[in-house]
Amino acid sequence: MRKKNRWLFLFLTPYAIGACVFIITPLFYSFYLSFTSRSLFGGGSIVGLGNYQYIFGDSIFRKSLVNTAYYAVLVVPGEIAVALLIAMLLHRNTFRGAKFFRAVIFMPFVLSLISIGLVWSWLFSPGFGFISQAADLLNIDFPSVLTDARYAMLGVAAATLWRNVGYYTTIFIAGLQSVPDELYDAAKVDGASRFQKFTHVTFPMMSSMIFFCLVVATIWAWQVFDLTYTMTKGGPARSTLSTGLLIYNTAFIDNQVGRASAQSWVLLIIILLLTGIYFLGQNKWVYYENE
Amino acid sequence: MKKRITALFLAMVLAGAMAAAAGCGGSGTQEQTTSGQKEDARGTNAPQTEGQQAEQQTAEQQAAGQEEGELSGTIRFAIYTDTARDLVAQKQAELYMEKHPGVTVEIVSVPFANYYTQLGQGLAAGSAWDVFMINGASFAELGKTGQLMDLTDEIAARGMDLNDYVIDPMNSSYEGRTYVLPYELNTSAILYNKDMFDAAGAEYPSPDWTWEDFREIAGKLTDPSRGEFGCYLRTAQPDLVSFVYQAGGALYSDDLKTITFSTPEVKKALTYTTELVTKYGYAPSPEQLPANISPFMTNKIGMASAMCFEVLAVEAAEFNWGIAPWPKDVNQGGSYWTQGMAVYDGTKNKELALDYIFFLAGEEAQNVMAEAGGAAPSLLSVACGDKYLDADAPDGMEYFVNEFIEGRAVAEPFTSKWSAISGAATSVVQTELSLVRTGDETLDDAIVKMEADAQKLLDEIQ
Repeated sequence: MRKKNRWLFLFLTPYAIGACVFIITPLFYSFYLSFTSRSLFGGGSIVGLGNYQYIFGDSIFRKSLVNTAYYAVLVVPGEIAVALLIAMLLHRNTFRGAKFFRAVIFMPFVLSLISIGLVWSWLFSPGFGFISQAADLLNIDFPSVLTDARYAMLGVAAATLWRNVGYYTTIFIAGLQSVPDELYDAAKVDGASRFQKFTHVTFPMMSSMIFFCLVVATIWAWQVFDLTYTMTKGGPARSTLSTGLLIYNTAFIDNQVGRASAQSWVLLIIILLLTGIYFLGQNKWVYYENE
Repeated sequence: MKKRITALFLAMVLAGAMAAAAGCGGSGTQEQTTSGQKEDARGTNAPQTEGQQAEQQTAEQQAAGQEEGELSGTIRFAIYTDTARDLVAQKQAELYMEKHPGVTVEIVSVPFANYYTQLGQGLAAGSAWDVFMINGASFAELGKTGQLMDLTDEIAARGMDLNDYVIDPMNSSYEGRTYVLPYELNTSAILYNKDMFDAAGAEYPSPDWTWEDFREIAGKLTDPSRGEFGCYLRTAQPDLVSFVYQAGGALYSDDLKTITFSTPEVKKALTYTTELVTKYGYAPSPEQLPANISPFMTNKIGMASAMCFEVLAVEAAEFNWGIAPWPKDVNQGGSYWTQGMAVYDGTKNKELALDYIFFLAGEEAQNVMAEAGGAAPSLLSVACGDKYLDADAPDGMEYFVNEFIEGRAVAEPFTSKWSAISGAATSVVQTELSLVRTGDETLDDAIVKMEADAQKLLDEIQ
């Protein structure tokens, strides 16, 4: 047993060192910084809860939270639903080229978010972009998505969806392929319709994977930074100012690392609360095979 | 249950990484480092490791039989990435190294968006660049931290007269001591598309044109059916300060402690620029602009402001263009700012870093900058000399410099809250003015809000 433990520690050590250096230490250090007035260039003093008091009274921080929540609402259900639909179309090779599309759909996920942001800003560019020119050809009055405060977040969400759907699709395809055929055969014997097969066999068997994707998608959505930074810089009129981008601006443009750390901790707590709610609610709909 | 606990732990780690990001700085930034060293024996300029560079340097020093007291070693000079700046910095480094064979100057070129992030990380780690460019907004924050070398005595010892340069003491001095030397002078003027002027039968701007002339010409150049606009007006620098100055006002009190957005002069300037968008339609509203493209380069904008360092990029335009002075109201002229240089107080080679920064401020290095034709040198005698305004310079380049000679330039009001007040896309001013230009807010309401929010930010400094 002792020998076994030694091996366990040996294998865990590299990760533990990495986690301590790159996650746990910065995490606690940022917690300490959140109580200081530290600037990007050093200096500052302990300000107690001053940063937290400031950000809770700051309308820009509240606006960023609302924007991020709106983005999450647009992106999370959209990604899961579209990915599930595509996975169901592709997993049984129901048409020629299904294997090819399985590879293609994953490709955007490999691209860097910065490149995706730039490409999509060009696509949406009024007068020059592909979408704008195609709309002109079809005589459709298409809005200038990224420079109009009403549509800008939709544009960022569209780019996110395009990028992430492949990732979730791949997970769902793997999940669908692991559902035993006997369950469908049994359902067929019982006279289940296609929809009933989905609701009573596919969905329960896939629920743990959907749950995983839901948690990951929510965390990623609340962390959104790259696309809002590249596509809109948080504009127009702060309509796409996500909390991640505001934290970046506070730390690296306004040079207030202490305040940015407090903003990060508030965001972390929101993400943990949401994740906690998901975990509390999973008993009602998530099925684990070994339970 | 074990699975659930594992999943919860993984989720917490993922979420925790976000909070960690602010504490340990950004990532994924780009940095290009080029050493100004001559070609090696293989005739290549392959990047070298620090070890290789040190070995080569030692060998060179020995070979040259270096005299005692001669400067030697390696220093890094950091600049914002820009075609012209990269070229200028490289040439300046080569010039210096020719005179000091034992010295290697590495040019660190970092995109502006990441520049101060990396500087902050370097300072925190105690390994900041030896010499680096610094603007007024960052000096306002960094100047008081004690991490910049005090250059006051050295300026006196070397007999340097700062009056020969353009640099605002507010962007270079703290409590009577000087920490920043002048490097670049960034002035503004108006670019105009000659092809659009010709097509509309409009006369090119005259040196003494007025706001009325500007508006009239913009009207002639505007053609909604072709998506063409007479002018493009930025919601912030350099347009905001320039138009307010032309109207005879200022955005801040002289001591930069009070916001004065609600004065009649500021209101007049904002009304004039807003109406060009909302009332006349001569300038595009925010939703009519392409994202991530310079509006003037689209060949659909008749006139737009520019800083002198932006001119080299415009030379790639496939249409004919020229440079005009700002139009006149009560005053004529526009906003400027300077880019200074500082030495990191923790540099391991203080003597060399000091010598290099004074070299960069000297006439020889400033001439190199003048020849490139981008940013103007901050040494006024060079900025006004033949090298900067030679025959190859674009038509009207002299207007960038004339503002100074004729005392018609107004300094961008840099404070440590400059980005939050007007500099960044999500700043108070840019946000409110975009809402005004899209018709979602009245100018009067916006002025009240801007003044209150900006003053609140300014009060944080005091």
